[in-house]
Amino acid sequence: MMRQVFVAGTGSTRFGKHPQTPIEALAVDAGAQALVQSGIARDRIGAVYLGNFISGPLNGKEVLAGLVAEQLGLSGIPCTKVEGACASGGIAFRHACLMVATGVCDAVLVVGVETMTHASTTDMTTALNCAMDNEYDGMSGLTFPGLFGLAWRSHARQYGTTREDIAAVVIKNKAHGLKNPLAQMGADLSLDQVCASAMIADPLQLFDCCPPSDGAAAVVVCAKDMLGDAQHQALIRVMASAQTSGSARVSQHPDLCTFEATVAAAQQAYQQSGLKPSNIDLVELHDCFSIAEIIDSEDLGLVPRGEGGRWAAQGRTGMQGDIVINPSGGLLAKGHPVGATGVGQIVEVVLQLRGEHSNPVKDASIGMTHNLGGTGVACTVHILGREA
Amino acid sequence: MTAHAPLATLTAYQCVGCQTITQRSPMVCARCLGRQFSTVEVTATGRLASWTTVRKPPLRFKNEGSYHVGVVDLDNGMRISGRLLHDSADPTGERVVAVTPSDTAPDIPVFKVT
Repeated sequence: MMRQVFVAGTGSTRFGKHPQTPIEALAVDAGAQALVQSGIARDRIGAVYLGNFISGPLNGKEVLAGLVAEQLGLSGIPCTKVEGACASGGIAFRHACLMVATGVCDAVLVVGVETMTHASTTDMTTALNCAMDNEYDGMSGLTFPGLFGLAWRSHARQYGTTREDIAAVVIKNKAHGLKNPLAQMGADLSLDQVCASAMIADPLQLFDCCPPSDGAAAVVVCAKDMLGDAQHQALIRVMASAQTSGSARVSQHPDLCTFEATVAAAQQAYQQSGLKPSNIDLVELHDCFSIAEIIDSEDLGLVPRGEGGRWAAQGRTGMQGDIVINPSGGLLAKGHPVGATGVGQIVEVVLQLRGEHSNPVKDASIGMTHNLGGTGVACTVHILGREA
Repeated sequence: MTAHAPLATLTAYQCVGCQTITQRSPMVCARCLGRQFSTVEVTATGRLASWTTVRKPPLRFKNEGSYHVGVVDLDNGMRISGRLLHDSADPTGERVVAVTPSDTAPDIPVFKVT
C-alpha cells in the first residue's frame, strides 16, 4: 500500500546570475527555506535527493548532496545526487516521493541546483552536450539548439507551424516572467524583436533559447501525519509521479515532432491520478526552446497534435486561455539552471495551488510539471493538487 | 581521396544473432544482447528529414565556425545524422547521397543534396 505524499515546504533562490556565489551555497539557501517553511524538525528528515547535471565539468565539484546536507545540519542520512541531464531535478523529486510513498522515510528534502553563467558559451555548450550520445549524434557536431532547430523544421513541414506562431510562445513567456520575482529575464517583446535576434541554430534565434542561469530550488515532501507543523494550511498532494526514458540519439526518434518519453510519462500520470488533460489548470513544462513548448504541449495531450503553434498564436495557452502554460515564464524567461529546473517547476505549481503566486492562475487547484532531459532520454511528469 | 565524392554504400554493423543493423559497432546488440557483428554495406542514398545550421558549436568543432547538420532517412530504412552540404534555401525532403568524409574527421558521415 503506497502512502500519500504531500509538499510541506518550498524554497528558491532567484534564477539568474549569481557568479560570486558557490554552487553549494545556492543549494543551502533554497534548502534552508524549504526546511523552515515545512516546520518539520531536521531529525525527521530521512534522506536528501539533489538534482544536478554538470557541477563536475563546470564547477569542479561533486558529492553535492552530502556537501549541502552537511551545511544544512543534516548528517548521517542517505544523501544522493541525481543526474538526468535537464530532468535531474524532476527525477530527484520523484525519488523523494517514492521514499515517502513506500514508507522508507517520513520526510525527505529535495534540492535542485546549477551554476552556469561563469562559463564561456563554448564551455557551456560542450558541457551541455554531455547529455547527447557523443558516439553518434555528438560526432556530427549536433548541439541542443541544433536538435530543436531540426524539430522546428519538422513541425513546420508537417503542421504548417510558422515563425509567428513560435514567436508567440516567446512573447507570452517573457511577459509572464516580468511578473515573477524568481525569474531571470522577463521582457515585453515585440514580434519584430524576436525575429531580429541573432540566429543560433537555424531557424532557432536567440530569443527562442532559454538563457544560461544560476539558481537553486528546494521542497520538502512528507507523509500526511508529518504536516502538523507546516505553516501553510493548503495541503498540496502529489497526485502522480511518472518517469520514463527515450533514446539518447536523435536518429532513433522516428518523429522529430514528438518525444515518446513525454507521451508515455503523461499517460502514466493521467492513469495514476485518474485525471484527464482537461482537468489540468496549469502546467509548467520544459520550454528549453520555444518550439519545445509547442511539442511538449501536444505530447502532454493538453493541445491537439499539430495545433501547438496556432494555440499559442491565438492566446489559448496564455493566462486567460484554455490551458495556462508556464505562468512562471518557463525556462525561456525564468531561466534554466539545469539541475534546479525540475524542482523549480514544483515550487511554481505549489505557489499557484496555495494561491501565493505573483502571476496567479485563477481558481487553480490542479497543476502539472514536465521536465525533459537530453534528446528525450529522461522525462518526468508530476501532477499536484490542492486538497479541499 | 577525392573530397566529398559520392559513395555507393555506407558501412554498417549487423548482429549475427538477430540481423539488426546499426550505424556503429555496439558492445552488445540492444535487441538480443548478442556480441558478434559483421560489417554490411547499406545504401548511401536517402531523403533529408530535417536540417539545421549550428552557429554556436561545442569546443571540439569551434574552429569550424558554423556548419549544417542533417537527419537522413536512408533508403534501407535506417535514420542517421551527419553533416550536410547544400546551397539551396531549404533542402528538407530532398534526395541526398553520402559522400566521402573529410580526411580530418573520417568518422562523421557527410551528405549532399543530389
